[in-house]
Amino acid sequence: MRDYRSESARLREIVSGLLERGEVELVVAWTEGEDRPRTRETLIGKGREDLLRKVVWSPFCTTSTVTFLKKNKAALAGKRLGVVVKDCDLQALNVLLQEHFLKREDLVIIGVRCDGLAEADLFPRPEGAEVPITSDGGGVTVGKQRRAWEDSGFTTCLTCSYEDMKPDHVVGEYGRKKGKPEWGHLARLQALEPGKRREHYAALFESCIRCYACREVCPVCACVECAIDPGERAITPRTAPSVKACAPVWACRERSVSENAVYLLTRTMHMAGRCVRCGWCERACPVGLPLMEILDLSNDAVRRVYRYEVGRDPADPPFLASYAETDPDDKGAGH
Amino acid sequence: MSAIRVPASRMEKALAETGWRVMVPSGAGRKGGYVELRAGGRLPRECGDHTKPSTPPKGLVFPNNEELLSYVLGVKGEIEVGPASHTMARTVLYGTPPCDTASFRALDSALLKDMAEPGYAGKRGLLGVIGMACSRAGRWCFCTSVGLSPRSNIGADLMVYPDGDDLLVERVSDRLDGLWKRLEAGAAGADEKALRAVEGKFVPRVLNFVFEAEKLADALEKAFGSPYWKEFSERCVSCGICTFLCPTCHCFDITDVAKDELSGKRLRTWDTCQFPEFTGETSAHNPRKERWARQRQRVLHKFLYHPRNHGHMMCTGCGRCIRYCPVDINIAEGVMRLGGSK
Ligand code: SF4
Ligand code: SF4
Ligand code: SF4
Ligand code: SF4
Repeated sequence: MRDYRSESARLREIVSGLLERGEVELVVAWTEGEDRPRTRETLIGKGREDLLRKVVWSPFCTTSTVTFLKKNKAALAGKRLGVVVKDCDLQALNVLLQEHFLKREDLVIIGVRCDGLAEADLFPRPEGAEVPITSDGGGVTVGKQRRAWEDSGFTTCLTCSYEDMKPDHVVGEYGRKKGKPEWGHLARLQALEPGKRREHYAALFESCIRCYACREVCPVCACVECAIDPGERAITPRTAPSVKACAPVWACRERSVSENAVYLLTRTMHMAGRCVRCGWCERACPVGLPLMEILDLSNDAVRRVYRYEVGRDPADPPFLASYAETDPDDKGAGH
Repeated sequence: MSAIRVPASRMEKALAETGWRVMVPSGAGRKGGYVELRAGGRLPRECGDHTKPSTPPKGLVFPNNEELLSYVLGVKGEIEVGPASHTMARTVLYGTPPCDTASFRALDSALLKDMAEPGYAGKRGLLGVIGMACSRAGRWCFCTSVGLSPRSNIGADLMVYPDGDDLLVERVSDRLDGLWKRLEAGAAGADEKALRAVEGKFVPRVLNFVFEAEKLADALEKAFGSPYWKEFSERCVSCGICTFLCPTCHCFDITDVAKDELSGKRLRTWDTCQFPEFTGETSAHNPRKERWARQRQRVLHKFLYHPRNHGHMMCTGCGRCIRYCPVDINIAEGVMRLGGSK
């Protein structure tokens, strides 16, 4: 059985050590907020005992510290940082390192061994810091409330196979056998006749409200300016047509099946070889779209056709920037 | 008489007789919304945080995708502008909890009061709201901190208080008098005392986020330059969740969508102060480039600017923005911190 209170204590030791010794200027870690067992990513500097005291690691560390790095890139530039990551966060971090979005030498990576995540809101608010949070092969327990992993709200974690990533520091030990990626849902969808499949996806696209939470929470959706809503460009009466022509409107703001599809499918294409299947977008979506089902269309191709493993090693070439002699498309075997 | 006691089944019958479209909350959760009650369907008998869907009712009268006009360029260069249809089927919202009911006061004050916005006004005139007293507060609810309560009827045309198999129905405005007359005929009256007795069962039990509304605006005004805004929003990802799901947020964007060289339409879609390009100017200058400035706008619009302009907060304490924010940004926590909690 894993006791996350003692693992959190160990994590606090490491974090405060790094700060004390001046190995890093700041650490991005999860802390407990007002709404326990929810947690939140927090930037901690030396001397912030108030925050350090709240540093936590538990299955409720569901957000991504790598998304935090992405969102605060400008403010953190040039600083030496410690970052606490789960296995899938590290996978995402590797993608960003491969793409030179961040520099490895700027980072000290503290990896927590993750057995899976659980939705905090499914558990009652623990009264008092002493309430233990534990897990074992079967599920998660907060105080007296227990839920099976299957019943804890994170479907992607059930089929997560990441383990034994290589961070600089490790906290915790795996307490559960990791699953295997599952692709049965894709086979089921692909077996539908085209009309039915079209209907299925149209219904998904239709319900999107274009809040872009899926893009924003994604740790690797890291373009400074998204093709879907470029907003940094000055258009004045004197803007040359050639400049305007470089800013085509790929998807207009209309909320319709076709425009929403352009957004969601563009994102899917741009995620090829980058999506780490952390499921964060799907969990954030306020209208409950099963986004992994869409993203897996490209994830499946990356895995099956190109045999590429996403974010395994920061030294690997990025998927879209690599070329193999054995590329099936080059032999005319593709389309 | 302004209140009556009727069996719940009578409400079902009377509503069915009107032939109006009836929309009811589909239940809490991400897939929910206010959905049309099918013919012969049962009206909800209670309401609370457990019946409150992620998407608020505002979309009925303020849709995320609304055609404002269409145009066609004729052969001689004349432009024909198609009339906008700012209408919908006559609709009654039934069983909205007090937070969602009160959202119409905020929306009306922004889109109807001083300058009626035709798209909203057209549909709003065809909407009646039957609010219901709330019997179950949720983890993120704080209606009692924003001047409402589980039994408040603000924003309602009729207000119902469930009492066993009966409903106490209170007439709040004349907008649903057609329905009221049907209900009233032969129904037992409920005097002030009876109404208060039933109403009294819906006691405020909201304890999590307590702040003092009266002092808030002044305190927040003073906190405009507070360094806390940065800490409050450092993990914000600038998505549209907190504002798109907010029952009172009403910002929009207008885009012309060309179908081809000769025709197209003008669309209105939801927009939010949390998107970086929301305040983008054509010069590429952006006065709210930073996330903390955008979060400050959200909080101050709700708890300072709108109250100053309209006399009530632009937050109904529904808790959606807290519940659905992917990174646990909590507007009540921020307000308590900056505005002084009790
Ligand atoms: S999070 Fe959901 S609703 Fe929002 S843009 Fe993504 S798919 Fe659409
Ligand atoms: S600000 Fe938040 S709590 Fe207040 S009405 Fe809007 S969504 Fe509800
Ligand atoms: S809080 Fe933001 S999105 Fe909501 S109404 Fe105000 S400015 Fe608009
Ligand atoms: S506060 Fe939360 S819901 Fe709102 S924009 Fe920021 S991340 Fe999105």
